[in-house]
Order: sequence, then C-alpha cells, then structure tokens
Amino acid sequence: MRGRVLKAAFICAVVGLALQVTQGPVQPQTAKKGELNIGFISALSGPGIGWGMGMLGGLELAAEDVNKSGGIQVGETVYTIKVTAYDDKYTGPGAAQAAQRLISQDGVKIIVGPLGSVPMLAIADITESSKVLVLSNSYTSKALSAKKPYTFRLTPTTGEFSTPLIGWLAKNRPQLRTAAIISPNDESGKEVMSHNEKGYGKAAMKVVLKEFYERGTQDFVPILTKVVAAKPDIIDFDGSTPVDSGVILKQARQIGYQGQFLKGGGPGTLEIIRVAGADNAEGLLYYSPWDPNDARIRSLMERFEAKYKMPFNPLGIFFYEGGHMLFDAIKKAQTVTSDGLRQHLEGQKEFKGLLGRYVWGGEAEYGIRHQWIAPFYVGQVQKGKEVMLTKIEP
Amino acid sequence: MLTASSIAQILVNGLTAGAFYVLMALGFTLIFGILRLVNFAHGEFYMLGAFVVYHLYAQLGLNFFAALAASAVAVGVIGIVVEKVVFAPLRSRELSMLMSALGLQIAIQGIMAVLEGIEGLSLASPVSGVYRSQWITFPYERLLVVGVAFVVLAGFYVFIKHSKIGQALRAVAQDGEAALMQGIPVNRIYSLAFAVGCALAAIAGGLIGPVFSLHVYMGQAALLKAFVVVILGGLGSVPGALVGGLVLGFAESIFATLFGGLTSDMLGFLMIMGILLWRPTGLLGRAEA
Repeated sequence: MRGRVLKAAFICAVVGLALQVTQGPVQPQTAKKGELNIGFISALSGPGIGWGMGMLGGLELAAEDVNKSGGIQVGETVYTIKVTAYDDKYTGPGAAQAAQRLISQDGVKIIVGPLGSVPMLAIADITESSKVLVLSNSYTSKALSAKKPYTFRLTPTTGEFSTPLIGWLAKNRPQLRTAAIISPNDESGKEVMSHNEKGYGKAAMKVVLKEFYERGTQDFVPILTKVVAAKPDIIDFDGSTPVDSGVILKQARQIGYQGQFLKGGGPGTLEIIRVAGADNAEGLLYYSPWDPNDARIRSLMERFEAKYKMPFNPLGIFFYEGGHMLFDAIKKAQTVTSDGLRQHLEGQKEFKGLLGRYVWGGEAEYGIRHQWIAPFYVGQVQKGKEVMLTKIEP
Repeated sequence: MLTASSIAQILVNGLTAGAFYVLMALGFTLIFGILRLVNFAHGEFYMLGAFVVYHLYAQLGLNFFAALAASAVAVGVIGIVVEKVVFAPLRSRELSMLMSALGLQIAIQGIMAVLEGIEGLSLASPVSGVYRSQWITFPYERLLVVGVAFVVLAGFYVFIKHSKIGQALRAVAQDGEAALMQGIPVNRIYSLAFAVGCALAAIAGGLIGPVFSLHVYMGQAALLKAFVVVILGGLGSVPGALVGGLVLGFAESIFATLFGGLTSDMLGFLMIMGILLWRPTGLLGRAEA
C-alpha cells in the first residue's frame, strides 16, 4: 500500500514537472494576468521615419521577447507588454499632443521617445508634472536636468562619445592634426559642434574652420571651396544627416579634397555610402553604435526587416537594449510605478545587454545621472563595406 | 585673401549654381505665367523626374540622355493628367488651386515614400572626372548640367518665340479670353503649359540628381530655390528666371566663399529684399493691370 502511494506521488511529481516545463516559467496559481501599457512617441512619417521606426521596432522586438517568455511577474500579477505608439511627425506640437493623449486617455506611466530635441523639450512639462517616466531620444543638453527627475535618455549624444572617439583618432592616426567642422545651423548642429570642439581640444588637435549651413542646402561646393582652402587634415560632418554627409563627401572629393572624413555625429553610414558612392566614401571613419557584422546584430536586423519591411536604423539598438533594460528593471524593482522605476534606475549600477555593458552617467554635464552610456565602435568604410576597427566601452 | 584663381573658382561655382537654379525655376515660372498657379508640387515633379532617370538609367541601363528624355515625357504625361483632374475643375479659383497644389505635393511625397522608401540614393553621373587648371576646378558632371541647362534654355526660347504652340502659349499668358476669341483652344494650352512645366522640372531633377542625391523629399529644397528665383526675376517671366537664377547663384557663391554658409544665406536674402524694394515685381517682372 505504502509502495503504491509512493509510486503515485512519484508519477504526479514527474507529470507536474513536465507540465511546468512545457507551460513556461513557474507562476503561482494565484497569479493574475495584466497588461502593461507603454507609450511611444516618435516620427513615424515624413523625413524622420527611418529613425522613428527603428526606435519603435527596437522597443516592440524587446517587448515581443518578453511576452514570448511569459511576461514579467510583479507581485501577484504577470504582465505582458503592450506598446501604444503615436506619430508626432517630428514636431513639438505633435509630440505634446501625443503625450497628452497617452497620459490622459491611455493612462500610461512610462513613455519611450520622442525623437529629437524640439519634441523632447515640448513634452517635458507635461510628463514631469504628471510624473511619467520618459526614456527619450534627443541631442539637446537641455533634455536632462535635476529639475526633470522623471526624464532619462537612452541614446548617447556626441557629449558622451565625441571625446573618446577623437581621442582614439589622435592616438591611432597621429598624422591627423587639424580639422574643419561642417554642421547644420540649428540647436542640434551647434551642440554637436561644441562637443566635437571639446573633443579636438582634449586631443590637442586644432579646429581650423567651423562652417554652419542651413538644412536643405544641396550645393556645398561654395562652402567647401573655403573649407578646402583651409587645408584641414580632417573634414568632420558633425551633426549633418547621412544624406547631407554623403553629398558633402562627394562634392569635397570632386573639388579635389584628398584628406580624411569623419562622421562622429550619429549613425547612418550605409546611407552615406549610397549617396556618396563607395569610391568616394572609401576610408571614412565613423562612430557606430553597433557592429553590423556581429551575428546577433544581424539576426536582430533580419527580425526587424521581416516585420517592418525596411532596414533597421542603428538608433533602434538603443531602444531594443533600453526596452530590455526597462523590463529587467520592472522585474528587479517589482514595481510598474514611475516613482519606483525611477528610483531603481537611479540606483542601477550597470546593465549587460547584447552589445555589452551600459551604465548611467551625465551628472557632471547635466546635473543628473540620467544619461545612458553605451559601448560603441569606431568603424571605417573599406571597399564599400562597414568594417569595425575597435570597440570602446564606457 | 582673394587670389585670381579663387575669384575664377567663385565665378565657376556661381555659374554652376545659377544653372541649377534656372533649371529648377523655368517650369515653375512657365506654369505661373500661363495658369496663374503657384505650383507648390513643382518640387515633386522634379523629384519624380530624378527617380524615373534613376530607374531607367541606373537600374535598367538605358542611355542617360534617352532616360532623361523619357523622364521628361513620362512626367509631362503625368502633368497633363494632374492638370485635367486636379486643376482644370478649379480654374480661376486661385486659392483653391493653391491648396490643391499643396495637397498634391504631400500626396506625391507620400506615394513615393511608400514606393521608393525614404533613404537617400546615389545616381551615378554619365560623365566622370574633373577639369583642373591653375585657375579653376570644374567637375565634368557640373559642366554637363551647365551645358544642358543652356541647351534647354535655348530650345525653350526658340519653342516659345518661333513655334505656333509657343505663340499660343504667349497669347494665353497675355490674355486668356482674347486668345479664346481668336480661336486658340485655351484649355488645351493650359494642359500643355502644365505638361511642359512638369517636363522641365523632370529634366532638372534628372540632371541635378547625380550632382546632389536622390530622396523623396529632395523637391522641397528645389521648390524653395525656384520660388526665390522667380520672385527675384519676376513671377511668370522666363527671362526673369534666367536672370534671377544667375543672380542668386553668383550671390551665394561669392558670399559663401568669402563669409561662410550662414552669412551667405543672410546676405543673399538681404540682397533679394533690396532688389524687391527697388523693383517690387522682380527684376524682369511686369506689374499686373
């Protein structure tokens, strides 16, 4: 009799274990199902769509990973992630309207985005007064401050990577001593210019010329005539878009510039190569947030392309990694409240993502440790392909 | 410091920029002159022309000039359809036509963004290399644009001045009702003028595309330049487009090389404001009765 009872108990245990294995993570029988609604704002139409869709795709793919693994358990509730996205058309009023709607109608407590400095500054008062946690993408230094305790930034700016990038250049290309910087005449361009100037100064390199141009300029030859006459070792595209950088590069080569080009103001190398032509772009050095030849990144790019039918913009990686960092924070902090998550993020020592180690920084620059510092690569165009020369860890 | 060679280079750059602007503005001013329509979608026809050349020349391997001609014809035909469907029903309602032109601009951009994507593309030039002397550096692809611009301008001048259709176009531009009474098929002339304007925009896009870059929003900058040129030269005046384009091109080149890009834009617009204060209808424009 005792033997039969033991045998039955053993069978029950094996069947129970098998059921647990097939059904996913162990969850208490009392666990409730919930849905965590995360707001998303970015440019999902118009000229910024490539960046905006990259951000959205990064976040949604991270949410997909978490939902497939059974969700996130917080207390007695197992949350699956839902992303509610609005298009701000890359404008301040569009972003403010989207933020109002997400907070008052959709009831979100976390917003990812928006893209760009103007939309970011436009939503700050709304999100801060509503105590909504924001994980943003913008370049302006005004985005972060001690007066904005609920605002964090996932994308590193040139303020974070210019100095190490130019430092690497000074050490590994000692023949390059002077630079001319060409930048768009707006807040982002001026900010990137000041970061790059600081980087060149720290590396004891001389900026021989600074040139601003209005966005929309297509013929750079008059400006480049002046730039080439200053004989810089490097022409730095600064905060120019990939299309503008490609056009500047092509036109500079056409009028006989033989020196080094540097794109340190943000990703978009493939587009530069497409616009400038592989021959002209040969040797271009650039900042890259990822190694596109890494198998894990390639797999992520394929997932994105299969789902969204467009190339995965490198900016998207910060939102894939940032999405996982947020979900990990929810799991570890055991809260979905913006206050709880804010406190957890402020105390987070590091996050190990696909690309490596991420840390929070920015206290010296912005007065608050809300800037994500990511690892990055120094890339070079070789025979029309992206080749990573080195990885720089924070 | 200015040297003889830097002055020569500034003049070459100015001539090239002027040729770009003349090409961009020619169709725009023709359409205004005949239809009294400020065609905000002009930049989109410029962009369509560039993409047709891209597909025929860069992807299908057609000869560049054949692709350029095919692009002008294709975009001209699209222009006829657009004029008949969008603008003809609104004739003489200038504000309604203006709003429709704005809507058309956004619609064409949206359709092309879906069809072509939003990333920039490069169109290889049919000529390569650079002419260098002790005085100037002149990439052959820019030289090609300058050459074709003047051929197009000369051809257009002959067409307007010496062909029957050109005379009809001028008659309608002067007085549509009087032209109708003389038996000129005014509605057909409107469509033709719109088609020729669009074809000129397509030639400009196809020619300038290899020098700059191709993307679905490339028409916005072209429209802005075309608008400045025709206001400066005189709305509806073809010689005005030529003079306005060259004045703007040389001004930008001189100011940008001497003072930099930012100061160049500021000085360029100050100069245009001064010219308009002196001649409110533009350099070669005529006051409306």
